[in-house]
Amino acid sequence: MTAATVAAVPSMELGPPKGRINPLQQWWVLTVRGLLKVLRNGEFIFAFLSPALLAICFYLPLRKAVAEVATIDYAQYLMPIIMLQSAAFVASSAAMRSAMDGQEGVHTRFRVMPMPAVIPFLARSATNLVLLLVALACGLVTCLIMGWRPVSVEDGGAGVAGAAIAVALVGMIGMGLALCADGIGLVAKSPEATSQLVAFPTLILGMLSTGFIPLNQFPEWIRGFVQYQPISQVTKAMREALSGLLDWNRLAPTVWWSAGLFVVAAILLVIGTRRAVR
Amino acid sequence: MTAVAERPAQDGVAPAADLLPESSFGAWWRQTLILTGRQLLVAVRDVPTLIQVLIFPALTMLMFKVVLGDVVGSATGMDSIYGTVPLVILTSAMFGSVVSATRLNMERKTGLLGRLYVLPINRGADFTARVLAESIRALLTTICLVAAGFAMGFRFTQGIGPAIGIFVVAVAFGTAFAMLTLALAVNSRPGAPLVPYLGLLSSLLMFFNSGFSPVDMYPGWLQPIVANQPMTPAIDLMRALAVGGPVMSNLIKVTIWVVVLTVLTTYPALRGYHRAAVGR
Repeated sequence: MTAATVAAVPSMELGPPKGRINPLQQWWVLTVRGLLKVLRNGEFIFAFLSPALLAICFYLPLRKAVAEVATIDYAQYLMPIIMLQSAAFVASSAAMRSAMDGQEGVHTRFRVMPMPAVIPFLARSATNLVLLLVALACGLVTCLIMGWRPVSVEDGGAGVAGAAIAVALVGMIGMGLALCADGIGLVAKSPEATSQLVAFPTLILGMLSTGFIPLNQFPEWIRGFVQYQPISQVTKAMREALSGLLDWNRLAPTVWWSAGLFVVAAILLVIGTRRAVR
Repeated sequence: MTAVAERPAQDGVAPAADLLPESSFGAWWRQTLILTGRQLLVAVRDVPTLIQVLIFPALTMLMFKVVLGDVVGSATGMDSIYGTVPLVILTSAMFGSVVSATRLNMERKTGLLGRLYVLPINRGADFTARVLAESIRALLTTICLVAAGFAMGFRFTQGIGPAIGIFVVAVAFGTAFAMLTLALAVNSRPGAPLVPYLGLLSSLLMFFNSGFSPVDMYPGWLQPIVANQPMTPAIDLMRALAVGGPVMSNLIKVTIWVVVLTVLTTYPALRGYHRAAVGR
């Protein structure tokens, strides 16, 4: 079989195919792959179960107890933390998927394929964004079932517009969390370690925040931490948005925390990508 | 070749005459202890799981005390720590059992159960070893969590007898729940999503009991369920043993739950274990 014969057979040509590789198509294929994985894992079901369980487990047992010590409508009060729980679920899901791909060698395989290094990351981000939107919708449905309603302008609230701003704030934080979690999944040694790394801070910051009970119900020695930690800042900004009192001074901490999350995510992504190359 | 039979034990191997029949009580007991040691070694070497069943519960205890202590304390007029410590002890026992069930499924998948089944050891030894290991783990975690509770203000005010009673209740509850999870593990198909479902059950039980919030704080339609689910009488009994109060009615409820769970799961567990071992 001479060189001339080899050249004559198109299927045996060496080197990359003649047709131009379309990065957009690659991104689409990988995004669909991610979404199918999410669908198969039942994550869309858990996107509803996660906030629903939080609502059930805190609203039903604590509604009366909180009403006795603080004059608040507990359904209205819980709404921000339930929405944040939806975002946290997306983050833990993103971390686990990224870590599983790492363990199975998927990241390394993608690195040696003829596609830009950023495509797998963009595909994972698109998957996480879709899951986040579904989770936020599920969170809102949960809150409505629980008894939360946007407070109308006549009653001193900001109505549907305020609710939309509050949800947008969670979306911003949620995307930052998802990107960070994705980065943790890239860097962490195993899926088990990843779940611990993501669940642990979420658990502590979630509980020690003004999401579940008002600040004055905490012991005095911990109030400083509770007041200024990120989840309390986000829930405060969301409540201000819902009541129509949101201004830049009240919004700034949430914006800066979000920016911080995006910076951390970028650093983790760079570290994870370098590790995959090696 | 008679000389072989008379030769003394070499390399730590017992001579043939010393081997007990595998179906005898002596063999069962000795092999159960050996396999229990194996289970405990595996558990101790699994660091992430150790964190999950010791550090997480201790942190949860601290969280509940800090976050809900004042709210629940104001509502009940009693220090919430006497509900939180029993709640976290029982929850830790439940989540620990879920971990053990997962490990059993993994060992079934790798063929270890099948290998143990064809060795000349008592058929029930490995299963009883798992249950005994769970009881020991429940006792050790209870000791650790009571120590953590002491740092937060938990005290035994009723003397040594009731204090021991608290540990007995925790171990009995942990063992009964372990029987349930192991029975489910060996009777479910290898790829079944056992952990999410058992985790969900444990989480729901964790929030709907008298240790998390007083029973009368729950909606009216939910109160009978909360009052009679397995954790509530156990928590109320442990609280009464620590700080005083009526014991008998809760003791009867706890005994009924433990006996019912144990009786209902023993046969399915043993049958499922046999099927899991030979079915690979």
